[in-house]
Amino acid sequence: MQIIIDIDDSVPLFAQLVSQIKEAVLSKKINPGDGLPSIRQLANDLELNNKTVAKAYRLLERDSVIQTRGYRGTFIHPDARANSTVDLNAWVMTKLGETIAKFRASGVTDSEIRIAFGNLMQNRNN
Amino acid sequence: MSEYILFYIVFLSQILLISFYYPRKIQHRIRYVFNTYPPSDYPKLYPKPFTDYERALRNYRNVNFFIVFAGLVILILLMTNAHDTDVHNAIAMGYFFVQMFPVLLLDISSIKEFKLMRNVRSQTTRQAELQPRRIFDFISPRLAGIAAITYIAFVLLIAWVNHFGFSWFGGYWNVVIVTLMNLLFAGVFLWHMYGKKLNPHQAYEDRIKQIKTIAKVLIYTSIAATVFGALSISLSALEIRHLLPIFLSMYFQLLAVIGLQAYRIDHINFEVYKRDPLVT
Repeated sequence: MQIIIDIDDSVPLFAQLVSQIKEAVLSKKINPGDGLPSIRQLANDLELNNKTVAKAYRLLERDSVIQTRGYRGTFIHPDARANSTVDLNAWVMTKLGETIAKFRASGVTDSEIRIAFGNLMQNRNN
Repeated sequence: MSEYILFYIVFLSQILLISFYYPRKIQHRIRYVFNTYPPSDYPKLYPKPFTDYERALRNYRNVNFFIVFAGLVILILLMTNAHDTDVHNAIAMGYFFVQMFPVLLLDISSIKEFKLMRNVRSQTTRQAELQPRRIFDFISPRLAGIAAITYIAFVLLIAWVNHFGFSWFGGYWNVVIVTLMNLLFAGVFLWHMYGKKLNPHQAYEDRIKQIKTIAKVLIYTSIAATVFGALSISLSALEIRHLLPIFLSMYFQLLAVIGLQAYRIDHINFEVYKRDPLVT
Protein backbone atom coordinates (compact mmCIF):
# COMPACT_ATOMS: atom_id res chain seq x y z
CA MET A 1 0.00 0.00 0.00
CA GLN A 2 1.50 3.27 -1.15
CA ILE A 3 1.07 6.72 0.38
CA ILE A 4 1.48 9.70 -1.95
CA ILE A 5 1.89 13.17 -0.49
CA ASP A 6 1.85 16.35 -2.55
CA ILE A 7 3.89 19.03 -0.82
CA ASP A 8 2.35 21.76 -3.01
CA ASP A 9 -1.24 20.75 -2.21
CA SER A 10 -3.30 23.24 -0.19
CA VAL A 11 -4.42 20.39 2.10
CA PRO A 12 -2.05 20.20 5.09
CA LEU A 13 0.45 17.34 4.91
CA PHE A 14 -0.79 15.67 8.11
CA ALA A 15 -4.38 15.80 6.78
CA GLN A 16 -3.28 14.13 3.51
CA LEU A 17 -1.71 11.36 5.57
CA VAL A 18 -4.78 10.91 7.79
CA SER A 19 -7.20 10.78 4.87
CA GLN A 20 -5.05 8.35 2.83
CA ILE A 21 -4.64 5.95 5.76
CA LYS A 22 -8.40 6.06 6.39
CA GLU A 23 -9.07 5.47 2.68
CA ALA A 24 -6.68 2.52 2.71
CA VAL A 25 -8.57 1.04 5.67
CA LEU A 26 -11.94 1.56 4.02
CA SER A 27 -10.81 0.09 0.69
CA LYS A 28 -9.37 -2.92 2.62
CA LYS A 29 -5.86 -2.27 1.31
CA ILE A 30 -4.77 -2.51 4.95
CA ASN A 31 -6.58 -4.61 7.51
CA PRO A 32 -7.13 -4.49 11.28
CA GLY A 33 -4.00 -5.78 13.03
CA ASP A 34 -1.63 -4.83 10.18
CA GLY A 35 1.53 -3.06 11.26
CA LEU A 36 2.29 0.52 10.26
CA PRO A 37 5.74 2.01 9.77
CA SER A 38 7.28 3.89 12.67
CA ILE A 39 6.94 7.69 12.71
CA ARG A 40 10.62 8.06 11.90
CA GLN A 41 10.51 5.59 9.01
CA LEU A 42 7.48 7.17 7.37
CA ALA A 43 8.76 10.71 7.92
CA ASN A 44 12.12 9.85 6.36
CA ASP A 45 10.54 7.99 3.43
CA LEU A 46 8.20 10.91 2.68
CA GLU A 47 10.92 13.48 3.45
CA LEU A 48 8.64 15.10 6.03
CA ASN A 49 9.24 16.37 9.54
CA ASN A 50 8.77 13.73 12.26
CA LYS A 51 6.27 16.07 13.95
CA THR A 52 4.00 16.05 10.87
CA VAL A 53 3.73 12.25 10.86
CA ALA A 54 3.43 12.19 14.66
CA LYS A 55 0.48 14.61 14.43
CA ALA A 56 -1.23 12.43 11.79
CA TYR A 57 -0.70 9.32 13.94
CA ARG A 58 -2.01 11.15 17.03
CA LEU A 59 -5.21 12.11 15.20
CA LEU A 60 -5.65 8.57 13.85
CA GLU A 61 -5.13 7.17 17.34
CA ARG A 62 -7.69 9.62 18.74
CA ASP A 63 -10.17 8.40 16.10
CA SER A 64 -9.34 4.75 17.01
CA VAL A 65 -8.14 4.04 13.49
CA ILE A 66 -4.72 2.99 14.72
CA GLN A 67 -3.37 1.87 18.08
CA THR A 68 0.13 1.99 19.55
CA ARG A 69 1.29 -1.12 21.39
CA GLY A 70 4.35 0.20 23.22
CA TYR A 71 7.68 -0.84 21.76
CA ARG A 72 6.02 -3.35 19.41
CA GLY A 73 4.89 -0.52 17.16
CA THR A 74 1.73 0.91 15.65
CA PHE A 75 -1.08 -1.23 14.27
CA ILE A 76 -4.44 -0.79 12.59
CA HIS A 77 -7.20 -0.74 15.22
CA PRO A 78 -9.63 -3.73 15.27
CA ASP A 79 -12.56 -1.29 14.75
CA ALA A 80 -10.67 0.87 12.28
CA ARG A 81 -13.08 0.26 9.40
CA ALA A 82 -16.10 1.56 11.31
CA ASN A 83 -14.11 4.40 12.87
CA SER A 84 -12.64 5.56 9.56
CA THR A 85 -16.06 6.71 8.39
CA VAL A 86 -16.36 9.10 11.35
CA ASP A 87 -15.04 12.51 10.41
CA LEU A 88 -14.69 14.49 13.63
CA ASN A 89 -13.75 17.63 11.71
CA ALA A 90 -16.95 17.54 9.68
CA TRP A 91 -18.94 16.81 12.86
CA VAL A 92 -17.42 19.84 14.67
CA MET A 93 -18.15 22.05 11.68
CA THR A 94 -21.78 20.90 11.53
CA LYS A 95 -22.37 21.36 15.28
CA LEU A 96 -20.67 24.77 15.40
CA GLY A 97 -22.57 25.85 12.28
CA GLU A 98 -25.88 24.93 13.91
CA THR A 99 -25.00 26.74 17.16
CA ILE A 100 -23.83 29.88 15.35
CA ALA A 101 -27.00 29.90 13.27
CA LYS A 102 -29.07 29.77 16.52
CA PHE A 103 -27.08 32.68 18.03
CA ARG A 104 -27.54 34.78 14.90
CA ALA A 105 -31.26 34.04 14.88
CA SER A 106 -31.39 35.30 18.48
CA GLY A 107 -29.66 38.56 17.45
CA VAL A 108 -26.15 37.88 18.73
CA THR A 109 -23.57 39.67 16.56
CA ASP A 110 -20.62 37.88 14.91
CA SER A 111 -18.09 39.82 17.01
CA GLU A 112 -19.91 38.81 20.23
CA ILE A 113 -19.82 35.18 19.10
CA ARG A 114 -16.10 35.46 18.29
CA ILE A 115 -15.27 37.07 21.67
CA ALA A 116 -17.33 34.50 23.58
CA PHE A 117 -15.81 31.63 21.64
CA GLY A 118 -12.31 33.02 22.20
CA ASN A 119 -12.93 33.45 25.94
CA LEU A 120 -14.29 29.94 26.31
CA MET A 121 -11.37 28.41 24.44
CA GLN A 122 -8.95 30.47 26.53
CA ASN A 123 -10.60 29.35 29.79
CA ARG A 124 -10.37 25.75 28.66
CA ASN A 125 -6.71 26.15 27.82
CA ASN A 126 -6.03 27.82 31.17
CA MET B 1 62.03 -17.78 4.57
CA SER B 2 59.21 -19.69 2.86
CA GLU B 3 56.60 -17.67 4.81
CA TYR B 4 58.12 -14.47 3.42
CA ILE B 5 57.79 -15.78 -0.14
CA LEU B 6 54.22 -16.80 0.64
CA PHE B 7 53.54 -13.30 2.00
CA TYR B 8 54.92 -11.71 -1.19
CA ILE B 9 52.62 -13.89 -3.30
CA VAL B 10 49.58 -13.06 -1.11
CA PHE B 11 50.50 -9.35 -1.07
CA LEU B 12 50.79 -9.37 -4.87
CA SER B 13 47.33 -10.91 -4.95
CA GLN B 14 46.10 -8.10 -2.61
CA ILE B 15 47.53 -5.48 -4.98
CA LEU B 16 46.01 -7.00 -8.09
CA LEU B 17 42.65 -8.07 -6.65
CA ILE B 18 41.73 -4.86 -4.82
CA SER B 19 43.36 -2.24 -7.06
CA PHE B 20 43.27 -3.86 -10.49
CA TYR B 21 40.66 -6.60 -10.84
CA TYR B 22 37.82 -5.08 -8.79
CA PRO B 23 38.25 -1.50 -10.04
CA ARG B 24 38.12 -2.90 -13.58
CA LYS B 25 34.89 -4.71 -12.73
CA ILE B 26 33.42 -1.53 -11.24
CA GLN B 27 34.54 0.48 -14.30
CA HIS B 28 32.91 -2.06 -16.61
CA ARG B 29 29.69 -1.82 -14.65
CA ILE B 30 29.74 1.99 -14.80
CA ARG B 31 30.54 1.89 -18.53
CA TYR B 32 27.67 -0.54 -19.03
CA VAL B 33 25.30 1.90 -17.28
CA PHE B 34 26.59 4.79 -19.44
CA ASN B 35 25.99 2.81 -22.63
CA THR B 36 22.70 1.13 -21.74
CA TYR B 37 21.09 4.08 -19.94
CA PRO B 38 22.35 7.18 -21.80
CA PRO B 39 21.60 10.74 -20.60
CA SER B 40 19.30 11.32 -23.58
CA ASP B 41 16.86 8.65 -22.34
CA TYR B 42 17.60 8.67 -18.61
CA PRO B 43 18.26 12.32 -17.75
CA LYS B 44 17.48 11.95 -14.04
CA LEU B 45 20.47 9.64 -13.67
CA TYR B 46 22.85 12.42 -14.68
CA PRO B 47 22.21 15.68 -12.80
CA LYS B 48 25.65 16.92 -13.95
CA PRO B 49 27.02 17.30 -17.50
CA PHE B 50 27.95 13.86 -18.87
CA THR B 51 31.58 14.91 -19.43
CA ASP B 52 31.95 15.20 -15.62
CA TYR B 53 31.12 11.49 -15.27
CA GLU B 54 33.58 10.53 -17.97
CA ARG B 55 36.26 12.56 -16.20
CA ALA B 56 35.42 11.01 -12.81
CA LEU B 57 35.68 7.52 -14.32
CA ARG B 58 39.06 8.40 -15.84
CA ASN B 59 40.26 9.74 -12.46
CA TYR B 60 39.09 6.56 -10.72
CA ARG B 61 41.02 4.43 -13.21
CA ASN B 62 44.17 6.60 -12.93
CA VAL B 63 44.15 6.62 -9.11
CA ASN B 64 43.88 2.82 -9.07
CA PHE B 65 46.61 2.52 -11.66
CA PHE B 66 48.88 4.68 -9.48
CA ILE B 67 48.04 2.55 -6.41
CA VAL B 68 48.91 -0.66 -8.32
CA PHE B 69 52.20 0.89 -9.42
CA ALA B 70 53.01 2.03 -5.85
CA GLY B 71 52.10 -1.43 -4.55
CA LEU B 72 54.46 -3.15 -6.99
CA VAL B 73 57.27 -0.76 -6.00
CA ILE B 74 56.60 -1.52 -2.30
CA LEU B 75 56.62 -5.25 -3.05
CA ILE B 76 59.99 -5.02 -4.81
CA LEU B 77 61.40 -2.96 -1.91
CA LEU B 78 60.10 -5.55 0.57
CA MET B 79 61.61 -8.41 -1.37
CA THR B 80 65.00 -6.73 -1.55
CA ASN B 81 65.14 -5.22 1.96
CA ALA B 82 62.83 -5.90 4.90
CA HIS B 83 62.20 -9.35 6.37
CA ASP B 84 60.25 -8.48 9.45
CA THR B 85 56.76 -9.55 10.56
CA ASP B 86 55.86 -6.13 12.01
CA VAL B 87 56.96 -4.33 8.85
CA HIS B 88 54.96 -6.76 6.70
CA ASN B 89 51.92 -6.29 8.95
CA ALA B 90 52.19 -2.50 8.76
CA ILE B 91 52.66 -2.58 4.97
CA ALA B 92 49.68 -4.91 4.36
CA MET B 93 47.44 -2.79 6.59
CA GLY B 94 48.66 0.65 5.48
CA TYR B 95 48.48 -0.32 1.82
CA PHE B 96 44.95 -1.67 2.28
CA PHE B 97 43.82 1.72 3.62
CA VAL B 98 45.39 3.40 0.58
CA GLN B 99 43.56 0.88 -1.64
CA MET B 100 40.27 1.83 0.02
CA PHE B 101 40.79 5.52 -0.85
CA PRO B 102 39.21 5.30 -4.37
CA VAL B 103 36.26 3.35 -2.89
CA LEU B 104 35.80 6.13 -0.35
CA LEU B 105 35.91 8.71 -3.18
CA LEU B 106 33.32 6.67 -5.07
CA ASP B 107 30.99 6.62 -2.06
CA ILE B 108 31.41 10.35 -1.36
CA SER B 109 30.72 11.20 -5.02
CA SER B 110 27.56 9.01 -4.91
CA ILE B 111 26.28 10.94 -1.87
CA LYS B 112 26.98 14.26 -3.65
CA GLU B 113 25.23 12.92 -6.74
CA PHE B 114 22.10 12.03 -4.77
CA LYS B 115 22.10 15.49 -3.21
CA LEU B 116 22.21 17.03 -6.69
CA MET B 117 19.36 14.75 -7.79
CA ARG B 118 17.26 15.97 -4.86
CA ASN B 119 18.03 19.61 -5.66
CA VAL B 120 17.07 19.41 -9.34
CA ARG B 121 13.96 17.29 -8.75
CA SER B 122 10.84 18.98 -10.07
CA GLN B 123 8.29 16.52 -8.66
CA THR B 124 6.22 17.80 -5.73
CA THR B 125 4.89 14.37 -4.77
CA ARG B 126 6.55 12.02 -2.29
CA GLN B 127 5.80 8.31 -2.07
CA ALA B 128 6.22 5.77 0.68
CA GLU B 129 5.09 2.23 1.37
CA LEU B 130 2.78 1.87 4.35
CA GLN B 131 4.73 -1.13 5.56
CA PRO B 132 6.96 -1.37 8.61
CA ARG B 133 10.55 -2.43 8.02
CA ARG B 134 11.87 -4.84 10.61
CA ILE B 135 15.38 -6.17 11.18
CA PHE B 136 14.57 -9.78 10.27
CA ASP B 137 13.04 -8.68 6.95
CA PHE B 138 16.64 -8.05 5.90
CA ILE B 139 18.80 -10.42 7.92
CA SER B 140 18.14 -14.14 8.09
CA PRO B 141 17.88 -15.35 11.70
CA ARG B 142 20.43 -18.05 10.89
CA LEU B 143 23.03 -15.50 9.73
CA ALA B 144 22.35 -13.30 12.77
CA GLY B 145 22.75 -16.42 14.95
CA ILE B 146 26.10 -17.25 13.34
CA ALA B 147 27.30 -13.68 13.95
CA ALA B 148 26.15 -13.85 17.58
CA ILE B 149 27.84 -17.26 18.15
CA THR B 150 31.06 -15.93 16.56
CA TYR B 151 31.00 -12.94 18.90
CA ILE B 152 30.33 -15.08 21.99
CA ALA B 153 33.08 -17.52 20.96
CA PHE B 154 35.45 -14.57 20.59
CA VAL B 155 34.61 -13.28 24.09
CA LEU B 156 35.16 -16.78 25.53
CA LEU B 157 38.49 -17.05 23.71
CA ILE B 158 39.60 -13.71 25.15
CA ALA B 159 38.55 -14.80 28.65
CA TRP B 160 40.48 -18.05 28.24
CA VAL B 161 43.66 -16.49 26.79
CA ASN B 162 43.54 -13.85 29.53
CA HIS B 163 44.40 -16.55 32.11
CA PHE B 164 47.84 -17.11 30.58
CA GLY B 165 48.99 -13.54 31.23
CA PHE B 166 50.83 -13.05 27.88
CA SER B 167 52.74 -9.78 27.88
CA TRP B 168 51.61 -8.93 24.33
CA PHE B 169 47.94 -9.65 25.02
CA GLY B 170 45.56 -6.69 25.12
CA GLY B 171 43.04 -8.51 27.34
CA TYR B 172 39.45 -7.35 27.31
CA TRP B 173 40.31 -4.36 25.13
CA ASN B 174 39.92 -6.83 22.26
CA VAL B 175 36.30 -7.38 23.31
CA VAL B 176 35.75 -3.61 23.60
CA ILE B 177 37.10 -3.04 20.08
CA VAL B 178 35.02 -5.83 18.51
CA THR B 179 31.92 -4.66 20.42
CA LEU B 180 32.41 -1.07 19.24
CA MET B 181 32.84 -2.31 15.66
CA ASN B 182 29.59 -4.29 15.91
CA LEU B 183 27.78 -1.29 17.42
CA LEU B 184 29.04 0.86 14.56
CA PHE B 185 27.80 -1.72 12.04
CA ALA B 186 24.43 -1.88 13.82
CA GLY B 187 24.20 1.93 13.63
CA VAL B 188 25.02 1.92 9.90
CA PHE B 189 22.41 -0.78 9.29
CA LEU B 190 19.70 1.06 11.27
CA TRP B 191 20.55 4.28 9.45
CA HIS B 192 20.04 2.53 6.12
CA MET B 193 16.85 0.83 7.31
CA TYR B 194 15.09 3.81 8.91
CA GLY B 195 17.11 6.80 7.71
CA LYS B 196 16.43 9.28 4.94
CA LYS B 197 16.33 7.94 1.41
CA LEU B 198 19.49 9.28 -0.22
CA ASN B 199 18.50 8.62 -3.82
CA PRO B 200 15.22 10.50 -4.43
CA HIS B 201 14.34 8.43 -7.52
CA GLN B 202 15.09 4.99 -6.08
CA ALA B 203 12.22 2.49 -6.42
CA TYR B 204 10.98 0.98 -3.14
CA GLU B 205 11.87 -2.58 -4.23
CA ASP B 206 15.40 -1.43 -5.06
CA ARG B 207 15.73 0.16 -1.67
CA ILE B 208 14.68 -3.06 0.04
CA LYS B 209 17.22 -5.02 -2.02
CA GLN B 210 19.89 -2.44 -1.23
CA ILE B 211 19.22 -2.65 2.53
CA LYS B 212 19.39 -6.47 2.30
CA THR B 213 22.74 -6.27 0.52
CA ILE B 214 24.14 -3.80 3.04
CA ALA B 215 22.93 -5.96 5.93
CA LYS B 216 24.66 -9.00 4.43
CA VAL B 217 27.89 -7.08 3.78
CA LEU B 218 27.92 -5.76 7.36
CA ILE B 219 27.20 -9.14 8.94
CA TYR B 220 29.80 -10.97 6.83
CA THR B 221 32.32 -8.23 7.60
CA SER B 222 31.54 -8.50 11.32
CA ILE B 223 32.01 -12.29 11.25
CA ALA B 224 35.20 -12.00 9.19
CA ALA B 225 36.65 -9.32 11.50
CA THR B 226 35.81 -11.32 14.63
CA VAL B 227 37.28 -14.54 13.19
CA PHE B 228 40.38 -12.66 12.10
CA GLY B 229 40.74 -11.14 15.59
CA ALA B 230 40.54 -14.63 17.10
CA LEU B 231 42.97 -15.97 14.52
CA SER B 232 45.59 -13.28 15.13
CA ILE B 233 45.43 -13.90 18.91
CA SER B 234 45.68 -17.66 18.35
CA LEU B 235 48.69 -17.25 16.03
CA SER B 236 50.45 -15.13 18.65
CA ALA B 237 49.58 -17.57 21.46
CA LEU B 238 50.87 -20.51 19.39
CA GLU B 239 54.05 -18.53 18.67
CA ILE B 240 53.54 -18.59 14.90
CA ARG B 241 52.90 -14.87 14.67
CA HIS B 242 55.24 -14.61 11.67
CA LEU B 243 52.32 -16.04 9.61
CA LEU B 244 50.09 -13.12 10.61
CA PRO B 245 50.93 -10.83 7.61
CA ILE B 246 49.82 -13.61 5.24
CA PHE B 247 46.46 -13.98 7.01
CA LEU B 248 46.11 -10.20 7.33
CA SER B 249 46.51 -9.73 3.59
CA MET B 250 44.10 -12.61 2.88
CA TYR B 251 41.63 -11.08 5.34
CA PHE B 252 41.72 -7.73 3.50
CA GLN B 253 41.09 -9.51 0.22
CA LEU B 254 38.13 -11.28 1.78
CA LEU B 255 36.77 -7.91 2.94
CA ALA B 256 37.10 -6.59 -0.62
CA VAL B 257 35.23 -9.62 -2.01
CA ILE B 258 32.43 -9.05 0.55
CA GLY B 259 32.40 -5.28 -0.03
CA LEU B 260 32.04 -5.55 -3.81
CA GLN B 261 28.55 -7.00 -3.28
CA ALA B 262 27.42 -3.46 -2.40
CA TYR B 263 28.25 -2.30 -5.95
CA ARG B 264 25.96 -4.64 -7.84
CA ILE B 265 23.81 -3.09 -10.56
CA ASP B 266 21.91 -6.11 -11.86
CA HIS B 267 18.94 -5.54 -9.53
CA ILE B 268 18.52 -1.79 -10.13
CA ASN B 269 15.37 -0.50 -11.80
CA PHE B 270 16.68 2.22 -14.12
CA GLU B 271 13.22 3.10 -15.46
CA VAL B 272 12.81 5.57 -12.56
CA TYR B 273 15.51 7.76 -14.13
CA LYS B 274 13.56 8.32 -17.36
CA ARG B 275 12.19 11.73 -18.23
CA ASP B 276 8.86 12.65 -16.57
CA PRO B 277 5.93 12.47 -19.00
CA LEU B 278 4.86 15.91 -20.23
CA VAL B 279 1.72 17.26 -18.55
CA THR B 280 -0.74 18.49 -21.18
